[in-house]
Amino acid sequence: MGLTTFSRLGCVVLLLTYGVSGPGRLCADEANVAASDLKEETFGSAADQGRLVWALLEAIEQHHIAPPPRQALIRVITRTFFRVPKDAPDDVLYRELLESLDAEFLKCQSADEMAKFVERTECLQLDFGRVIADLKSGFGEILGEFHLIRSKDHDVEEQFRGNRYVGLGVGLRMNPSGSPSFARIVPGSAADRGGLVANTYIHEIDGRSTENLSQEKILDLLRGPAGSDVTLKVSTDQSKEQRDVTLTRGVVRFESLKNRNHQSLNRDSLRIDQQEPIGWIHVETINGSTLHELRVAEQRAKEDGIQVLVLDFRGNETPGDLHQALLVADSLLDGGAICERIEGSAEPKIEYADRECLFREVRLVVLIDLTTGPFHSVIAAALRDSGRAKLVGRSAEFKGFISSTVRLSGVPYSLTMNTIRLNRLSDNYQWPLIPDYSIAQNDGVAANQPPIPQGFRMGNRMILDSDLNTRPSDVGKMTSSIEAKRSADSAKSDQDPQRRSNASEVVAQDTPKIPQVPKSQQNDQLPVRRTSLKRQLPIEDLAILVAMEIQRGLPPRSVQPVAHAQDEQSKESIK
Amino acid sequence: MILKRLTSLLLLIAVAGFTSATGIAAEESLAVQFRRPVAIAVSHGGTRLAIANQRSGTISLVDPQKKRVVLEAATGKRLSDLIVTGDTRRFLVTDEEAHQLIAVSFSSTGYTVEKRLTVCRYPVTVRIDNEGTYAFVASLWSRTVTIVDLKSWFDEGDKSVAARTHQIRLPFAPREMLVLNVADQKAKIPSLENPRLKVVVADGFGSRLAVIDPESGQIDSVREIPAHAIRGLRLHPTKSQMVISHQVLSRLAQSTFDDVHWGSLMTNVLRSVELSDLLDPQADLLKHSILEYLGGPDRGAGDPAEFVMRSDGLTGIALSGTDELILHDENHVYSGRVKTESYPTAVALGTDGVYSYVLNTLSDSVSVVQLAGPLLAGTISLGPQPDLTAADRGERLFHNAKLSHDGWFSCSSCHVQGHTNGLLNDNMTDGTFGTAKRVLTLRGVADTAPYSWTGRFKTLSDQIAHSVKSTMQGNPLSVDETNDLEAYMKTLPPPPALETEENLAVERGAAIFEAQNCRSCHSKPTFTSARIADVGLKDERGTSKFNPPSLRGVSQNAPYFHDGRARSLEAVFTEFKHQLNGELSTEQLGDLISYLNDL
Repeated sequence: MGLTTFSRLGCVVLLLTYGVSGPGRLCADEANVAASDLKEETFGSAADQGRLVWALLEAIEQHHIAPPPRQALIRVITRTFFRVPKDAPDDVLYRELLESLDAEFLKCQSADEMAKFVERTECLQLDFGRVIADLKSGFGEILGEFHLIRSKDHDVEEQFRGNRYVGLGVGLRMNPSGSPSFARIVPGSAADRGGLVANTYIHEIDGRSTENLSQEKILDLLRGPAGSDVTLKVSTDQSKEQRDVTLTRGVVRFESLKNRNHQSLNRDSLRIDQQEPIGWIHVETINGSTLHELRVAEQRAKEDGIQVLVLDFRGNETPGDLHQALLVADSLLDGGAICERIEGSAEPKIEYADRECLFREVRLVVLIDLTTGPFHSVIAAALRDSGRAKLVGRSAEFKGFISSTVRLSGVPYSLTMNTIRLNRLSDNYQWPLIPDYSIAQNDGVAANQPPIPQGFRMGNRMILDSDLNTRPSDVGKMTSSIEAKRSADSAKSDQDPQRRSNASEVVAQDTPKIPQVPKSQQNDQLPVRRTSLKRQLPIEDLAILVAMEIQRGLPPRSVQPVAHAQDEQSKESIK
Repeated sequence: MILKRLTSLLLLIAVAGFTSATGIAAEESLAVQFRRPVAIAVSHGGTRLAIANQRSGTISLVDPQKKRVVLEAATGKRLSDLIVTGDTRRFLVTDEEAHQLIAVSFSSTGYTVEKRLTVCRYPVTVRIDNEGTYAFVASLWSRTVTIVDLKSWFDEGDKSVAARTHQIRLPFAPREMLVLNVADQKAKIPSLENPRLKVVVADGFGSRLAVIDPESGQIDSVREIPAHAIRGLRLHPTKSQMVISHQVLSRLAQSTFDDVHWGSLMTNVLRSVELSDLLDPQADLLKHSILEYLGGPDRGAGDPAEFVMRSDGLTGIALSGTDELILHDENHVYSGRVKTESYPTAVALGTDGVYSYVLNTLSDSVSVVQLAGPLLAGTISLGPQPDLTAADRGERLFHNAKLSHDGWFSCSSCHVQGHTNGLLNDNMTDGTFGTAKRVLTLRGVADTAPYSWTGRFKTLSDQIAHSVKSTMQGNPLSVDETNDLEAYMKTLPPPPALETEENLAVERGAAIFEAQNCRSCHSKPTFTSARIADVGLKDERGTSKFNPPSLRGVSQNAPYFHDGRARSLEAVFTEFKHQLNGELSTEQLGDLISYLNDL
């Protein structure tokens, strides 16, 4: 998850620039060291590298879900600092040297001792960039997930999680030739209020030329605390003359919930169309404001007369938050258990929901697929296992391991690794999350999936099975090529026996995430009634069909829990 | 001057036991004193406001048109509630220090204290039914509702009323009450046995609601809802729902900036429950319950207190934490706020429905709010106040939600009335998240250092500074503010013991307390110590060393232990065998609990 989170973050950073607000106030956990105050620009001396590896040891041993013994961690450190040449003979000399280094590293009992040892040992490679890279690959191998990020970036990630990003509200594009530009301006942001438009070129930031600056450096210059000013020298294609503009950084807020047309719930209805009392909420991300937004949406659902609500949990691209996911699950459940949580050395703990329940009288359908992230999966599983919702779509990837980012003590870096394991409280199911209703694939892969509801009236016409048996290739034609790729990938991965047997081997995949279907392409989807089914994503049709079935009180067609082979394996490995 | 002396004299006489007094106190003659008004009602056919003052023990009679006090009547020691009877010049008030129900009537020239009736200790609320047959008195710390037959009290005298007065003991400390005429609910709930009157009684601190049947003297139901700090109960104008103002503290949320800012930790709400659910003991009270959120991110609505509902559904809620009246229209949509003065806890609706009168408990005043707009139409002073002491300033801070980020809650949101809501809160006072701890009472907090469950804070001011900055995500307090808050908290007496009768069981229990060496941690006189002891109970992060809480008033502090795992004092010993050297017999256990209930 960490890398995906990070790459997601990177992808969002392309869209926005953030700053770091003052310490303390925005600090979620006062125990955190204000590591971002450390200057990572000057960080990297031999002693620093020693402190860094010590901090890593401590963090892994304290927070990793299954920390390896210290010897194993030390082996990674030794082989990071002393690289045996590839063409070197596998001789005793190297082995003995490595073993003696292992022993010396093991003797270190504090950050200072580790720093001194690295500093005075001459044979070590101390190229900071390479050390970082080797630590990542070495620890990655034994920890499953290991990502070092600058604490500064961790701060930004936390702002994301709280939906309280501080910055200008611009998307940065690095142009291969010429100055970088703002590809997007967020409505209502400081940049918007300052009159900037998309495709504005930035030549200087606070008097410093952007020429030859890296993206990271430019972002650092654009960032700053809320209320601080930044002066940019800008131009556009239309008005080539460079001009100065001063902007005040502030909080940029995003809505984590949208309706089916990807419109704000504040402006547009939740309903899928005029006739059916079915609502649709796309939960784009789970962050600090999601619970609040759901409360507002509940009021909206009442006004709209919603009886069944589809929660679209697909395509979660921004970092989420387990704590907030638990709060959201709690808010949608009328009491009962959410999940079992296993963390560090703490006793396994069952998280319970209170009796406060949003959409209490509305029935829920949750739409999931491969792009459903870990935090959405946690909520979907809890809703399904408590009988609160039916799941529709395709299996999600999440395997029950949650990674989180820990600030390293005394160094300006934070470490993302697996820290929490979540078990579903279902007798029959563990991870991955399998829907109750799924689209039949072309080759019988979904043979043991629930049958597709068939023969429902929708508008003026009957929906037949054949309408739904749309093949992935057709889906590709109907939607963008990106969606086609995603479907093909999912079909392939479902079929791959190798992958299936490895499914239990945990850990979030590091595959690069496919970007969401651009909104411009999604926006032209018309409500079901007014358009041919062939133009719809069949998975969305299925969700609506299930919702209609529930709304009309037809006998539930959900299938008795089937012990899928995949389930059994993952249960064994996780339990 | 002569008039002033005369008035004081008359007031004195009334207190001394004479039952009648005359004389109108002109505004300038009002005594300089703290009044701390706590209850307001429209009287005299809509031409007067009657206000009960807690600290001065007086009733202020106010002319809302002329915006002035026309009379201040010395009535008791520490008044806690006031209600106007069918005869709108006769009031019933409760005195929580004299433990009395008092009937007072007003004429054009003066007032008469008609009758005093001793009721269960600490009466805090009085209500009557529409016909004026009964008065219901909720007594907080003695956990009792006293039902008084008004007709026999007024017509037949004290002896007769004593025979016709009975008490209902509750499993919680009651405060708010609502009398329901339920004759018309019979059709909806066939199981309703005595379908004339029911009384809803709300927990004064925590989450419980009881329905009692005054005719049989039985408790129909006691149910828990996700709520605390229940400060208002009303019948909806449609008469099919009861509306409750309260707060909700999430058990899963943490006292981080994000959870406070987005209203995940604490919300301020109006909750409607269906009367049919309320009156049917088997029904799920929450099934048709509707929440209406007050305030929101960037602008909290801390500590909603009493509220008024106009027949058209317009609702005005006193926000005692943010010093405002907030209005929601008939569609439950926010329609404005009006600034009041300090700590508005009660509100009355004028008979014409144009104005509402908000009682500012700590500034001794009434804010007159024109509901259309809404706008402030004036402020009526109830009389001059002396200079504030540190404790007085601390009291203002304690009830002020501005201490928290965006005004979501005050100290008294969790420490309701300086006590505890009995709930768990996941904050950093113990140094970790994921380890929600029971909110401790602040009553009797003086001389019980160190503070917090883990004894992490050596002084009360350290704990206060931490709680405001971290748990409340507020701006850091100044040294003076911290000192004021500390001064106020140190004035809070321990919760009164549930039982006060000295008897043999208590004596035997005291001997068991000694024999079991309980005092090694719970040492007299505060029944705590500075020790950090491991009694074999772990939190989620493995912490098992806690500072023993004081046992003074322990009978009022359920549930017990750091995570509230013991629901009762009995469970502390039977279920969790708390530090017992060997088994106790049933009799011994009973004696020990009698002793603890007496502390």
